[in-house]
Amino acid sequence: MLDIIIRVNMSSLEVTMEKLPEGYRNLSGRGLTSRVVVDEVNPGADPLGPRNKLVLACGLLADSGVSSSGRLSVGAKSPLTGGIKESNAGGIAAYKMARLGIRAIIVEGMSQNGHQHVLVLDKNGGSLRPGGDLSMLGVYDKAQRIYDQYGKKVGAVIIGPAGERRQVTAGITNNDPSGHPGRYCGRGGLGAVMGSKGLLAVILDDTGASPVGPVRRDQFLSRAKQIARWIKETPQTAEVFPKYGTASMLDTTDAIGGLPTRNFSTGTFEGAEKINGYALHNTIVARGGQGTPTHSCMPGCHIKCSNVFPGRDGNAVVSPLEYETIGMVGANCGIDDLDVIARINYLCNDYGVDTIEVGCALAVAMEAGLMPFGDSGAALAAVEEMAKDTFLGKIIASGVVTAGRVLGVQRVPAVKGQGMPAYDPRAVKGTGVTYATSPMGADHTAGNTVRLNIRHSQREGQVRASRDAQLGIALMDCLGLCVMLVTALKDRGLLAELVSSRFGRNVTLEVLLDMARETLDIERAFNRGAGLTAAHDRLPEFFYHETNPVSGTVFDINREDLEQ
Amino acid sequence: MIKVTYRVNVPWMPAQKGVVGLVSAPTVKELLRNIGFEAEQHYNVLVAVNGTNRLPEDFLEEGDHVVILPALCGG
Repeated sequence: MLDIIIRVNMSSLEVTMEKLPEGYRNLSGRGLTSRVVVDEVNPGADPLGPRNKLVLACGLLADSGVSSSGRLSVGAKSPLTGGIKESNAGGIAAYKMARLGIRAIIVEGMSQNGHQHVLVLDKNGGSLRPGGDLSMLGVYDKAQRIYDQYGKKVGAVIIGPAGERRQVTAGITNNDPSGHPGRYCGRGGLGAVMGSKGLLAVILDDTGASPVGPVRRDQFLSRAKQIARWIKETPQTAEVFPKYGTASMLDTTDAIGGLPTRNFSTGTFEGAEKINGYALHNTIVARGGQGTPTHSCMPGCHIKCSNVFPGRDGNAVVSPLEYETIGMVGANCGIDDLDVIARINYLCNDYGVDTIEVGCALAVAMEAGLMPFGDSGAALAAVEEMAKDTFLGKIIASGVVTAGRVLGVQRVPAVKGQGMPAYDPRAVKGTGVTYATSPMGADHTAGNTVRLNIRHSQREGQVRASRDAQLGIALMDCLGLCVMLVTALKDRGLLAELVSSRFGRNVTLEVLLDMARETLDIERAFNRGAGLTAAHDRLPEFFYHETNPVSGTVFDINREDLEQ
Repeated sequence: MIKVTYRVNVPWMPAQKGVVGLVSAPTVKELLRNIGFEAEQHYNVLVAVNGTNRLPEDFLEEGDHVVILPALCGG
């Protein structure tokens, strides 16, 4: 079960099927992508060269019926951070991989003479086919062409023009059960790695596949039902996320000074009520049509925190519209208009770039005086320039660090080259510690502490909170599980029981936690080999001396603490 | 007796806001209890006071502005 590795050599155009090595048998998700990168990629390799490898992996519980278990992990050496990167997303790709028995896809080498290809995987194996007809199409057009040729039910992992142009904010998306190609592994420029190899899409056709059921079926089903019960019993997963989505976070960060506003100059936004979870929900419901506030991004999810945001005519504009995009393109740019944010989200998705990086870069451009904060029209125009590949478009699509350098802005919110997500590290200091110390760069998904019962603006306890959160999230990532499940997960021991009963072997929680710890350890070791040292585990200087006016705090976790 | 203003912004609870009088040196826990939050609900909410979050055992002061929100794991 789930014991196939597909190896794709883009130089020789060979696709081979390998048996999962015995040493990898408990690895999946981030644990597997990072293991393969560490085992097979020289840390000194050029991220956009032939020696880098792109790894896609599903989780051990993918296609098992367990809620929230279908995350797709993508890993490689990052052209944005220069270190190892894993980024994951919902969608149907991991589910389709699992139905085909595929644990991982390893893409290596580089296509010759600029030829572009599509990888097609089905029950008979895999092949590379010419992909030139998809070249430089936006993601939505690519997806439609793929559906036209391979059917609407296929899983499709796609890059946009940004990936083809090797722009370091390019992400890799896949489609959801409704066909929206908006589930982005957005961070770290992994789309540029895929583009550098000459691979435009991976098509997963599970027609006729014969997935294997759990070995200890009754035990497995009882544990899967327990997860579903916990989700229904927990108010956040039963009532908040299905109705208001991840945008429900906005009121919380706004109330504690954690909502980045106007390039992290303050932590609360006067327009928050126009873009928060309630506003999003009410707008979607009032407009009706194709819009829905409650939507599953993957098969079998009981939380359904995704949405489809409609325009005034009821036609879908983008799916999903999430907190990070609303926070970074909205509050951080001083924009309080959900329609503008949704349109920018659509344009970013279509071009194939990370909305967090774009939100950060736009705000830096605003601070530089290229446009005023809150100027929706100018922000939209700047984002449209990305697809036109103009000079300004290239700057925005190159991320916040490049934008800061070109435009002469010193207040650049990034760690290890990666733009900061929508939690101000002076107000949510544990997450700030994660930004600084995670092997992933500034990444809230690597260990967000905002849920923890700690005083977020105080110094004490943040290093430990971050360490625990990084380990806890690594565990979820290594199993392909969604972070939204965390609140409902009353006993992590159940995860070990699910793995044990599905595969018919005894795997304890300690074994899974060891896997998560080892994943973090090997990621850090890879980064050291790539030249990232403790000196890179720092936030930008302005967070240490510029007070967040809402929380009244600076980031005061010193270097010695961070090195613990 | 001190007075604090409060607002409940928790989707699974009725929306409410107002001014509440509490015995001197009250904790966040006492405020929560006073406005209808059962003890087992305390873990599921985040309490913001004047722009930073507080824990149930923290003390409130005269004139504090309290917002009670769902405790969420991320976005």
